[in-house]
Order: sequence, then C-alpha cells, then structure tokens
Amino acid sequence: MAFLTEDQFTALQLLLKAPSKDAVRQICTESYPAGASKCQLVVEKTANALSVSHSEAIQLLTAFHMLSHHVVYQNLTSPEQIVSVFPESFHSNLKNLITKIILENSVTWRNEALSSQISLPKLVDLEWRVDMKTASDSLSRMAVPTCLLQMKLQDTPCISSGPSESTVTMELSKETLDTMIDGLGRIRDQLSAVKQIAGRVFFCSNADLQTVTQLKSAERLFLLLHKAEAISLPNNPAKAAVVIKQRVVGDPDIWKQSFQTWTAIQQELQQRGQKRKREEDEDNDLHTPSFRVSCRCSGVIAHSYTSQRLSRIIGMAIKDHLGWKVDLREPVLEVNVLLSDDHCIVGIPLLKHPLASRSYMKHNGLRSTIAWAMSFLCPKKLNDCVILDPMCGVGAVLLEAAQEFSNAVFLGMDTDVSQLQKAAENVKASGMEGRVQLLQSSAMEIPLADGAVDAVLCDVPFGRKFSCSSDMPTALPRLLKEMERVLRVGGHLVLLLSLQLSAQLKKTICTHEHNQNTVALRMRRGSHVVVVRWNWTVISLRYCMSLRSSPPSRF
Amino acid sequence: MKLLTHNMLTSHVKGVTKGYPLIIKATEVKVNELEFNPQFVSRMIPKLEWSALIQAAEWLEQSQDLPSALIPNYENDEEFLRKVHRILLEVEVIEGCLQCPESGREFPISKGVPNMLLNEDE
Repeated sequence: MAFLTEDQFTALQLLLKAPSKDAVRQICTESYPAGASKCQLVVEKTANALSVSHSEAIQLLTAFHMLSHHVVYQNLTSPEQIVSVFPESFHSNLKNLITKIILENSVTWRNEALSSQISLPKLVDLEWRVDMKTASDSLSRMAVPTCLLQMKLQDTPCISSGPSESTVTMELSKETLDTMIDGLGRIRDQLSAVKQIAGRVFFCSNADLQTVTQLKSAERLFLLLHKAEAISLPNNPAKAAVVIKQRVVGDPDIWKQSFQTWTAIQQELQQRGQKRKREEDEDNDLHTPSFRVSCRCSGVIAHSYTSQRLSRIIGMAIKDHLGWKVDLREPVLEVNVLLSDDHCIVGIPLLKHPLASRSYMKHNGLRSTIAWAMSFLCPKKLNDCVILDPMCGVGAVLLEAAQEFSNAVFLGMDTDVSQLQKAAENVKASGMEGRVQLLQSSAMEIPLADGAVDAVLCDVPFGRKFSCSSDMPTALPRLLKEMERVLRVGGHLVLLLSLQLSAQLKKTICTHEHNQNTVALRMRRGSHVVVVRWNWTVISLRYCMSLRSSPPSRF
Repeated sequence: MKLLTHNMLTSHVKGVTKGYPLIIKATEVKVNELEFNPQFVSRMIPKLEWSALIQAAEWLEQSQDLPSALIPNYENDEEFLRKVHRILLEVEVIEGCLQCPESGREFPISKGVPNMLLNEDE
C-alpha cells in the first residue's frame, strides 16, 4: 500500500476513540474537502470530538483525506475493493465502518471531483431587458426594439483563490435573437438525442451518410436495434434461452425494420463507391439474411456463460424467431450483442471496417480517435503555424492533426531512433513529407528557441506501456516547463495524461501561485492548457479540461 | 532535414548563449519535388529568420540568388515564393552534421533525421 503509510493507518485508528458512529461519520465527511487538515476549525472540532491532540487530529484528517481520494480516483466501487486497501492488522470493525462511510459518500465525492475539474468558465446567471433604440433627426424617426442580455460567467475556483465572476453584456436585435433561439433549439435537440454510457454514445441523426462515416472520434458505427436494462440469465440453458428470446431478441418487427434500414444504408454506401459490392444474392436476402452473432459479456453473466455459448444461444433464438440463416463464415449481417451488469445492447455494424482505422497509418501508435480528439481541442485557426509533439513516437498525434490543419508545419521529436523510423514510414505513407519533420531529441531539452511553436500536442507516457528514462511524476514539472518555454505567447498546449498525472498537473497549476519556488511552471498570458485524461477503463474520451491561465502579474 | 527545420533549431548545449544558426556540414543533399503552396510559403516567411535561411542555403549551394534581405511585397511575387519554397521545403540534408557555432558540438544527421540528443554532462 504505497499510497498510505503505516503511520497514516495508525492515525486512522484514532477514530476508535470517537464516542459514536455518527461522530466518525461526521469527521470523515468533513475531512474530504482539500485543505481540511489546514482548517483550524475542523481540526479543533475533530480534536475535541476524539479528545486527542491537535497534531494527531491533523494526521487523522490527512490520512482519511488521502484514503478517500484514493478510493475516488481509483474508482473503487465495491466494498471488497475498498476493504482490500487496508492492511491485515487494521481494526476490522472500524475497517467496515469506514468502508461503509466511503461507499455512502463516494457518489457525491465523485461528482464533486468531476465538477471541480479545471474547465471553461460556466454561465451562472442571465439577465435581460428590452430596450427601444431610438434615433431621431428631422428626416426620419425610428424606434427599434432590441434586447440587452447580460451573462454572468464564473471561472473555475481552483485557479485563483476564490471564484471569480465576470459579466458580459450584449445587445441583440430581434433577428439575432431568432437565430440564436434556432441554434439553441438545435443544441437542445442534439443534447436530448445523444445518450452516453461508458464506451458508447447513442445518437439520432438525419445527417447524410457521408458526414456520419466521417466521424473521427468514434471507433465503430452501429445501427442500434435496442438498448435495455441489464438482464439476468438463469443458469439453466433452456430457461436462459427463453429469457434471451424475450429480452434480447424481442419484437421481430424491430428486427425486420432495422434490417431494411441497414440494407438501405448499405446500398447508399455502395453507390458512393466506398465499399466493394458484396457478393450476395440480393433477392433472396431481402427478408431472410444470413447472419452471425458476436456477443460480448461481462459481469455476473460472464461468470456462468462464455461469450461463445451466449452467441450460440442468441443465434438460435434469432433463427427460430425470425427465420434468418446462420452463416459463421460470410454472413450478410453481423449482430453485435453486449451483455453487462448495466446494459443489454443489440446493434448491427454499419461498416465492415472500424471508423477508427486510418489508411495512412502503417504503424499504429496512439488510438486514432484519441489523437483526433487532441487535435480537435486546438482552435481551428491554428493554420499557418508550427505544431510540436516533443514525444511523438510513431507520429500518430501529428499525422492526425496534419489532417485537420492543412496549412500547419509539424515537428516530431523522440529519443528513440526505431520509433522515429516508424514515424518516418507513417509520414511517407500519409504523403505528409512536406509538412511533418522529424528529429531525434529529448523532450527535456528541446532544441528550439523560446516561443518558437504555436502549439504543443503530446501523448505523455503514463509510465505503463510506454515510459521515459526517469519516472513521470518527477519528470512532469520539468517537461511542462520545457514545453511552456518553446510555446509562443498565446500558444496552446494539449496533453494526454493518465488520471494520476492529470491530478498532479492540476495540483501543480493550482498551487504554484502560492508557492513560487517549488514549481517553476509559469504560463504566459493568454496561453491555453488543455489537458485530456484517458481513463483506462473506458475507450472513449471522457474528460476534457481546458483552462485559461491567470495573468502573469500573480507570479 | 529541411531548411525549415534548420531555421527553427538552436543549440541547447549548456552555457551556450547564442547557438543559432547551427552550421550545416552536409555530405549528402537531396532535392525532393513538392507541391507548391504559395499561400503557405508567404505565411511562413514572417516566421522565419531570413538571414539564417539564406546562410543555410548558401552552405548547401542552393541559394537560388535570393536576396540577403527580405524583399517587400513578396506575397504577390510568385517567382520569389517558388524559390523560397524550393530552399525551405524541397532541399533536404540527408547525411552530415550540424555544428553549434559557439561550443563546436556536432550533431549528426543520419537518414535525414538530425540527432539533437545531448549527453548527460552537457
């Protein structure tokens, strides 16, 4: 248990002195917010409640703070996971009580952690007034009604010491207002049409297929048959088959309709010449296509059934129910089923190849979807500029960004020759030789002048699959300092970080104001840091944070 | 290594105050034809260290009679932009080395990729 020392666990045992369970609960919840151990009031209260000394109270609060943050950031959700954090010798009743308290609060804490992330300013209030704008002279008189709109914006509190509010006042004509309402209405429709679960986004779209197949951040594209709550399967295969028939296969009409939609989409795709014509007999397949099921299961169901077995049961159910033919080798349709503890999802892939596969990559590096999302975080006007990836590897991020910014120059650096060679092959395959330049160099000592580049995009090694010579948490401040040095004033920095590194960066940015000497990270005026974290449990990009740096006068 | 890259590179050897521009000692130079994009070239020009670019082109004997001082109104001078395009993007040093003008430290260029790595004591 590297994250909590033995002393800290000992400090936790001080909770045994609490007069009641409620007292423990109160201490625990109060110690969660950052800086609780520094707050005199909380310390005093804790010390009094447990009748211990001040320093012991501080130790206890710090220890619990670390424990609860560990649980939240490591996403430990089951009691077993939390209990396993404690050492064997820990008082068992107290262990259970703490676990219970953490579980009770973890949802609130997690939401708090998400909402308190560094982000763009938020709209907190809106005021308006209708004005008559008048102008008069001897020739004409006019009176135009306009609307004055005042928006109160709140910056994220963690950058400066307290929340800072700013107001924007603007004048809108009736026409602008109409356009705005139109736009907002569309946004609302979009928001309600899009639903998201871990790793999957559900959406309705009337956009043309061309646009949909150009989605850059999606891995694969499916036609959704249905999405339902999780199902539980009895252990008896015969009974399970009945449940599957009812809950997974369900209404045959939906399948027939979906198949029609699918066929229509396929025809449209073929007409566009994007796909090789399928070798199939269209007439016979109009109502009874051949299919195969590929099922992925996780959680409770996976304990009693393998995916192959489930695929077979589902396949049989579809065959019985709809009369479709099973063809494992070259089916017309592939039915994808996901059965997890939370969901039961059935879909048909629209394209044979994953959307995420990029023809221009010979050697794959970072997932193209993530690489694209990183370049997407840079403003569109980044054309005619210099973009640097100081740890480029095979160049995935650079090449993805090169598709987006057609007039920018890219510099890729890496210490490893073999990676650079692969990067060079990728650059060649993508035809970007004129725009992507490679050199062998360390990200710690970038051979560029101060302020030479407009943007830095970097997939920082998390220290899991890829690492660099020194360990990342110690190297990060130095790395950032170097990136910041080569960035021009008003430049952009986009980093892909692990959860831990991201938390570290956030702390670095938040604390350097008060502690100028320890961390020499100093963002110039107008620079933007955009940090992307990649949560390893989820394939899709989940968190985007962006922050506007504070003016330099504070440092 | 294209001269565009060279134009941005500076020596980062410890203690060096003016490590720019790096002296090019080329043993193999190649010229690759690339699509000419006048807009791109004219927008890159203000970002360049013009004298360093001309100097580098002279080292490689590729100066194309470009003036040592940047001409005004180059945006509309296609012939001029083509020449800049040539030295900036098409001329490439494949083998050779870059030398720090102050410390004399040499950085090898192999297969077109300059190795700017420093030893730990540098």
